[in-house]
Amino acid sequence: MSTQSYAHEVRQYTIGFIGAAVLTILAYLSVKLEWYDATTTAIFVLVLAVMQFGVQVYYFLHLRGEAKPRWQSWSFVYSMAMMLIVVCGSLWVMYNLNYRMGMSGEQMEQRMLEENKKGF
Amino acid sequence: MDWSWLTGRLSADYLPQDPVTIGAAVGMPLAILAVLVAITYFKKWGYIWNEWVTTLDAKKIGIMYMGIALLMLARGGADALMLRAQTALEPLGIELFDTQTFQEVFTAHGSIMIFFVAMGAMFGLINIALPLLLGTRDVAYPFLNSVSFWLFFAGMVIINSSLVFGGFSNGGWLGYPPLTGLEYNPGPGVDYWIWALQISGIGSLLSGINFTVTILKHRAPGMTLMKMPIFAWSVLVAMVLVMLAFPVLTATLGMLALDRVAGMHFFTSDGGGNPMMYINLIWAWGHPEVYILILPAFGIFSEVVATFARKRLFGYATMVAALIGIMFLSFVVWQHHFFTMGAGANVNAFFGIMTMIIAIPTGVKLFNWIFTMYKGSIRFTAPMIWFMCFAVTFTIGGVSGVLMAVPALDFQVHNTMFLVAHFHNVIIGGVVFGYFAGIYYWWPKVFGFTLHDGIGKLAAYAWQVGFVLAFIPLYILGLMGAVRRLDSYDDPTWQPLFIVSGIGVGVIALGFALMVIGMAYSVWKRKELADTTGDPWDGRTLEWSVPSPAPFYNFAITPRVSHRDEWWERKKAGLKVPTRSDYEDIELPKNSALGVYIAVAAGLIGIGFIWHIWWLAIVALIAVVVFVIKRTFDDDTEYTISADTLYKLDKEARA
Amino acid sequence: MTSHAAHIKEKAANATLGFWLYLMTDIMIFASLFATFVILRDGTNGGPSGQELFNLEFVMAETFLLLVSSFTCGLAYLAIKHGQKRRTLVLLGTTITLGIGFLSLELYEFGELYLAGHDWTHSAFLSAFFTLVGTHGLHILIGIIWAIALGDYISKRGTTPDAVRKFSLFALFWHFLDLVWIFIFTVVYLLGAIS
Repeated sequence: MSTQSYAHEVRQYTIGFIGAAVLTILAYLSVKLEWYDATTTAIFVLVLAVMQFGVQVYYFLHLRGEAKPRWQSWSFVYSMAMMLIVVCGSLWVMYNLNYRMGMSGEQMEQRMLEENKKGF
Repeated sequence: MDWSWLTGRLSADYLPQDPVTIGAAVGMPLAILAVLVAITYFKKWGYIWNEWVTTLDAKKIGIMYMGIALLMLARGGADALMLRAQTALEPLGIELFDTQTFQEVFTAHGSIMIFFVAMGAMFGLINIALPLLLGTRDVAYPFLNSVSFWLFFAGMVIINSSLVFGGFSNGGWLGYPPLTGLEYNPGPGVDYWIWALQISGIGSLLSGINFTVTILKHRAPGMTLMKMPIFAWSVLVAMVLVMLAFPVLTATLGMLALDRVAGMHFFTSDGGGNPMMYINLIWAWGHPEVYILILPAFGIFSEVVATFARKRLFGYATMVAALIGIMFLSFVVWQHHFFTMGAGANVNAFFGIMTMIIAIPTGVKLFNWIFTMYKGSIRFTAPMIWFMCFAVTFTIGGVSGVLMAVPALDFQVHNTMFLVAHFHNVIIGGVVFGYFAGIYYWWPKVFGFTLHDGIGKLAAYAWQVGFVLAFIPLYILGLMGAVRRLDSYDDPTWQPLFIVSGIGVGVIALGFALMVIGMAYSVWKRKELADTTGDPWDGRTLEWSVPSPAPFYNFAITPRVSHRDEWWERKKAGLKVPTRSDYEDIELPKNSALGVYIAVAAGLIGIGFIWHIWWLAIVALIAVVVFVIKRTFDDDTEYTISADTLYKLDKEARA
Repeated sequence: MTSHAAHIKEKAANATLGFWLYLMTDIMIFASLFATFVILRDGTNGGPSGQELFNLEFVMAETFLLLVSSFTCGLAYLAIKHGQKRRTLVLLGTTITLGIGFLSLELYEFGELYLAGHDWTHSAFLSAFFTLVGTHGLHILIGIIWAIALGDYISKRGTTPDAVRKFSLFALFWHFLDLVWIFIFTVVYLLGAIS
């Protein structure tokens, strides 16, 4: 194997490593130094996490190097999609359940009286 | 000296107390003992170890799965008889079981039927048929295949040993907390349930990976995805569902186990826990699970209908599209199992609509089968009769499902006998009839003789009549307000319907008996029923191109495929006799005992957790790691069969 | 190529796809645990929340140990692909050491919480925290054991094609664990620390 391609491969890993490190530090600093308000910070660190995920998947896992048919790439995309459906679906369902069913008996009675007054 | 660390919470208190359970607890070990004595007497241990326990041949592993599945069908069916006998006789003042036992019986019934009968039969048939249909020799990971089967076996042993010692869970087949939490169920019953499912579930997950890679990478040369038999498509889709859904089961059962064993608060009613989360997660697995069970059955029907109508499957491409549509949709409907838990109108509406949509691709498939039959030259063999029974029965069940997809209607019938009727309708009509069709269809390929067709058809009719008698009354009872899982009902006007239902279960039992009798009779008459050509049905797909029973190497010469229904096309074009130069050396996997060792260790981990024998769990865990590492160090896992040997074997087999 | 060589190449492609699919199933397990954590994180049962308990600097140390180990693992894979046995073993050893370092820090963190009375029996939040982070830690432990066995294999049998295949699977696993950690770091610790 040529040393040129070896050096190239090492460079790929190094870029990935530095990219991931930078994204990590940025996320940490934004929380520690309170650059933004709570909601914006939350979105910011989540976006950075997704970006780092992409960086690591590209530079460390070499998803693009696969020969056709790209079963690994497709199974990855499909798994992520199903995972998001199950996670987000669960969060949506549980949020609703907790909101409607997570109250005490008195709170429930109060709420039902109000809903009744509002009618259908 | 305090020895409790050695034996955990084992104690004589957990021996069975009432006559029925004592009878079962004594009878089962006696039966097993009788078998062990027989094997020793006939000096068959070597044969069993070398030919069955350590085999990596998918066909034999498949046969073992089927054997266990049929055995467990008897056990689950006996449970059903007990349940319906109780509700039929209770108004007459005869109480067969106390409430606790009744709950354990319906929990065992459901758990065994889903996890050990349906999953077992599915993996059994896939193991037997898939490599042959794909024109290949074995699955992608033969060793992993053995591990999967023995994990399944370990789970089966665990669930059955609860009968002898400790008692089973009373929490239903899905084990909802807080009832199954530590506070309300501190005993070992629920733990038996958790670990039987957890261990066999890992086996299922590994099989999901195994069969997917087999289909994606091990098809015969020339067999593109759109040329492979539709059964393989149904298996591919089902295995994708297995890989995505079973981990959710693993995580959820794991969290329940942690609640019970480590005092955690995932699903407790105090400490901030949320039992509703369990129901959400378990159904996020549970709904894909029912599609996992039904899709291979659909695949079997596709093969059966085309073969016995002597006509190629109508709408292959739309069948594939429908399968993929079902694969996607089965992950967006799970909340319909708890419309009544209180998530509100918006959530219910979304999932209700999605549930109704999923009926469409299923309907497409049904029409395609009917269109396949249209202007075909139909032979009404036993497999075809199973299909006819399925077509009517499953449709009724599917339609009752669409009814319940409407949340407002579901509020009326949820957790009533209507629901019980619906899911038995689709499971028996769909899954059970489908796998029975598969058994009758592929039996000659596995054993070298066909099953007696007349007895098989009688069995199908008995199952059909029995099903109607057992479950149609339950639809009516549900609409009248009969709630599920009760051992007694107040309304005397319901009694006749419960009696009819009880009789129905008896007729189903007759159907099962006819199947067993038919099998025994066919074994006795196997010379007359022998399959001499390897192609008893004048089939369309590659498994019929090899001799019956299929040789251990499946195909002596790797087939090169150019058509869908390759075997059919070859027969039309005229078959060539192969010459010596057509044969090449092949490599097959060597036997291995590590599969069963790993599963035994896994089973002991479960036992350790169930009985709080922590040292056992830890030692067994280390053993699993050691065995796995040992296997990875083994580079000499295959053996070669020379072309000459292959040529000789093939000539003999075809003579 | 000969049918035997083709067979070996096929086995390698086989193994990668199969292991990759296994990683997809592992994603689903972690997804379930993540979803549960998010839903139960407010269930503190009157006890402390993440904001009171977590030390971000400590977590950053853990994060960098794992990230560097992922880097050295990648370099080790390149080394074995190019047949450099000694270099492979050195980089693999570094990966293992960093992994042990990560695990030690995590065990220390868990120990501190346990001794302060904030263990998994006290609230749903703590149950979910220990389970999610602990499951990741368990995977790291398995990875370390695997890496040691792999190191033994390579030192005995050299950088054969079989060894390269086995290493590629380990590398996939190790990188995957760092990917999951990105989300643990973000969702559990960072989001927990935001007031």
